[in-house]
Amino acid sequence: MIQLNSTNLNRQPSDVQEMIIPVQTDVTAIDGSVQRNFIQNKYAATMKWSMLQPADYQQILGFITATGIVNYYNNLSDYSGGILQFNGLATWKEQSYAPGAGAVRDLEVTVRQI
Amino acid sequence: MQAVSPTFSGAMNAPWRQLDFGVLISWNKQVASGINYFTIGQSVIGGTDIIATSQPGTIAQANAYAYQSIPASGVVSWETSLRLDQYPYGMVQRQANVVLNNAGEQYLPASGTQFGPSQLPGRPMIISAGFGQETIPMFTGFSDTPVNDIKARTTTLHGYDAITYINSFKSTATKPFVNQTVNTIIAAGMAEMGFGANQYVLELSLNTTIPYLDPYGQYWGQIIQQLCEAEAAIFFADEGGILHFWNREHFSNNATPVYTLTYSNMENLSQQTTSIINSVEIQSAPLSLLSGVQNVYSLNQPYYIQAGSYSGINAYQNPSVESNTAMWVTSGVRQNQMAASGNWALSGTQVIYSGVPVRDVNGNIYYNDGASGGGGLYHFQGSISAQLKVYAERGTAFFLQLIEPSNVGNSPIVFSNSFYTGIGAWQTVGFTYQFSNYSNVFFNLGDVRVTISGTHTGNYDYNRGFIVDAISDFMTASYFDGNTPNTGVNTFSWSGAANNSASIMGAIPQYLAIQVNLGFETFSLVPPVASGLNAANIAAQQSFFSFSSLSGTGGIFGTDLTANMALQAYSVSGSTAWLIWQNTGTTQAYLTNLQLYGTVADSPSNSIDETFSDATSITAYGLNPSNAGQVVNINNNFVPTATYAQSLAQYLVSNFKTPYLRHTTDNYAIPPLQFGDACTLVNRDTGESRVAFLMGIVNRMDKDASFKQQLIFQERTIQNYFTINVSTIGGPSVIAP
Repeated sequence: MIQLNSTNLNRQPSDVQEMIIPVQTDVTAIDGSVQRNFIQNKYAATMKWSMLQPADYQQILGFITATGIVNYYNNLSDYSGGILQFNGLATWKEQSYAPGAGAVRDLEVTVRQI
Repeated sequence: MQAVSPTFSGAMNAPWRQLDFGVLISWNKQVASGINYFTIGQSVIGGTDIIATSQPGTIAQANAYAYQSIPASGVVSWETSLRLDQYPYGMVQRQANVVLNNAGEQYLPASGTQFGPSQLPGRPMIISAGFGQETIPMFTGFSDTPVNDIKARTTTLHGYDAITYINSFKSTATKPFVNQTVNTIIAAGMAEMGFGANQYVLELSLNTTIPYLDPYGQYWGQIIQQLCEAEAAIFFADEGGILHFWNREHFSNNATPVYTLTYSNMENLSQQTTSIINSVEIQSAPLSLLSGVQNVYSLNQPYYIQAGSYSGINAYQNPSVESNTAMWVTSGVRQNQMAASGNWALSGTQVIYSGVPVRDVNGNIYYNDGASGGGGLYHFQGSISAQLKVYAERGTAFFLQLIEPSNVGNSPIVFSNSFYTGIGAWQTVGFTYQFSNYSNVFFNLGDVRVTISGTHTGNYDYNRGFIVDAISDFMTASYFDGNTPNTGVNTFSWSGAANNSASIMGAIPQYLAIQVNLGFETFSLVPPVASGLNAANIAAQQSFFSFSSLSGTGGIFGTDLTANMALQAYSVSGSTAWLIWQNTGTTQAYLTNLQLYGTVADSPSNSIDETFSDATSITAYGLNPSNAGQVVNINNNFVPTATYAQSLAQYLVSNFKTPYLRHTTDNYAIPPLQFGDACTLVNRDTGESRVAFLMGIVNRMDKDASFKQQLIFQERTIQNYFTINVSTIGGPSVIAP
C-alpha cells in the first residue's frame, strides 16, 4: 500500500517504478581506466495512474503541490525490508483530456529523495 | 605529501571511492571552549596548551577558534588553488572558494540565521577532504565577505591563507637587525605577527647575514618577499596553515618521488617548456651600520608648547552625613582624601590629562595643538592600544570607564570594566579601541576621561586609594586616594547628584610631542640633553635641545626656559624620531634648538651591480625569451655583497638556462599531494618516466560527486650540493655557487 504524506490514496497507482539514484561521477583515464567518486545513494519512485476520476486526481495533486516536500511510503516495496519511505521532491506529467467528455485523466508522478 | 593512514591510502587508490569533505567556519570568530593558553609554571612544554598570540583575531590564532561545520547538504562546491608563477622563487598564496547552498536563505538579511556573521570578513575557514570518514586539510585561512547569488540561491565565500595577513601586516614593534641571519629576521617577524614557533618551519637560509634592516613601518610580506628573492627561496603556507621557508636547495634535497602518475590515473596530460633564464643582473645598495656618530637632524622650525595648566575633578559629598570628604587629582602627588568606612558610593568623571600625546599603531603621535581649552583637536584614525594601571592603597573594588572620544557623536565608551585589586597591588587593565568607524572625524583626544564609581555596605575599611597611571604613552601618574581611615560607624555617600560640590584642582602639565624626519636610517640616538640657549658648552656629537620664550632679554629667542622642560621620552625608528617634553613651568615656550646625533645605517657609495649570462643558451633560445627578451633584473638590497650577487646570478642562470618540461595533468584526485612534491610522470607515448615537482595545484569538489584535481609540474635541475660531514670529497656533490 502506497501512502503519500501518511495518507492512503483513493486509488493506488497502476504502475510503480522504484529506483536507486547514485550520486556519483566517473572519471575516465587516458588509457580508459575508470574511477568512480561516490557520495551516496538516493531513492526515487515513479507512479502512474490511468483514468483518474476528478476527486482522486485532485487528491494526488494536493499531496504533491501542498507543501513542496512529499513523504513517500510503500510497505510492499521489493527493496530490502519490504518498506521504502523517504521525503522527496515531486515532478509530474499531466495528460490532456477531451472537453465535455468524461473528466478522467492519466497522471504520472515521480518523487525524488531530498 | 601529507601523511595519511593505510586505510586512507587504500581508499584513495581504489577504483570506487566514497568521498568525504568538511567545511568549517568560525562565524563568530570566538576562541573554542577548552582551549587553554600556555601559562608559565602551569602548562607543560610540548603539551596541548597553545601559545596566546599577541595578535588576537588573526590567522595566527587559527588553531584556537570554535568552528561550526557546514553540513554536506549546505555546500554546493569548494575549490582550493595555489601556484608558483613565472619565477622560481617568492611568496606563494593559496586561495579557496566555497559555494554554499542558500536555498533556505539563511545568508540573506530577511530570514538569515547566519546573515549577520556571514557578512563579516575574516571568518576563520578550514576545508578538508578525504574518503570514508577520514579527511585531511585542504585549506586553512580566512574568508572574505560573501557574494550572494539570488537567482542561483548560493552564497560564495572567497578564502585566503596566511600570506594575505602577512602581506598586510606593517611592522611597528620589531627592533632593527644588525648582521642577522634571514632565519632570525623571519622568526622575529613571525613573533611580531603572533605566530607561535610551532606554526612555521624555516629551512636554513643560504644568504649571508643581512647587514642592516629596520622593519619599522614596512610590511612583513614585502620584507619576506624581498628576502626570498635575494636567495631564490620560497615562502608559503601549507594546507594546515603552517608557514614554510624553503631555501633554493629544497628541491634537490627532496627529489625522491612520492607518487606516480600514469595513463591509468590521468585524464589528460599536456606539456610545454618552462621559462628560460639565461641572463641575470643583480643590483643592490645594502644598508649597513656605519661606525661613529653622525648628525642626523637639525631643527629648522620652532615648536610651541603651552604653559602648564590646571584641571581637576568635581567631587560630590553629602555634608549631612560626612563633611570631611573630598577628592581630587594632582600630578603624581598622593593626596589623603575621603574618610573611609561604612556604606558608601562614589562617582565622578575625571579628566586625567588634557593634551596628552597618544601614539597610534603606526607610530604616529597625536598631541595637543593648544586649541579648545586645553583639549585640542586631533585627526586620528586607526586604533589605540594602551593600558590603565591602577594601584590600590588599601584594597578596593572599582568600576572604570574610559570614554573616548568625548563630546563627539555618541561618545562611545572605549573601555568599561569592573575589577578588584589587592592591597598595595597594581592592577593593569589593557584595552584596544578601533577608531575605524570614525575615519576622517576629529576627536578630542585631550580629554581622556575616567569615571570611577563603587559601592560598599559594611563597617570596615574599604578604602579607595588608587592611582591611575593611565595609558602607556602617558607620562606621569595621577592619584586618587582616601584619607585617614575612619573606624567609626559612619554612613556617607557620594553620588552623582551634586550636593555641596567642590571642584578640586590639580596641576596638569602640558606636553610637546614632535615627529622629525632624520637624514639617515638611524639605529640609535645619542640621548639628548638640555643645553640652554648657550650650546657652546655641549660636547661634540652630543644631542641637545633648548627652549625659550618668543622674545625677551636673551636675544632673538627671548628668555631661556629650557630648565622648565623635561624630556619625557624619545625614540627612533628608521628615519623618524619622536620626542616628548613636559612643560613643568607656567610659561609658554618654544623649542628653538634641537640637534640630534646618532648611529646610522647607510648604503655604500658604490652599489653592487653584477651580471651573469650564458652565451650558449642565448644563442640557442635568444635572450630571456620569457622575459620579453630583456635581462632579468633583480634590484634587491638584501643582496649583501658583490660575491653573493654573482653567486645568486650564476645559480639562476645555470639552473634555468635550459628549458625543462612543464606538465599539466587532470588526474584522479589525490588529496595528500602538496606543493613541492616530487612525482614521477609516466608518458606511455614517449616511454619516458620523468621526475617533476608540483608547482601548482587545484582541487575542486562539486555537488555531483565530481572531485577534480589539476596539477602543474615543473622539472628542475636536481643537484646534490656538498654538505660537510655528509658528502664525500671526490664524490658527486658539488660546491654550491
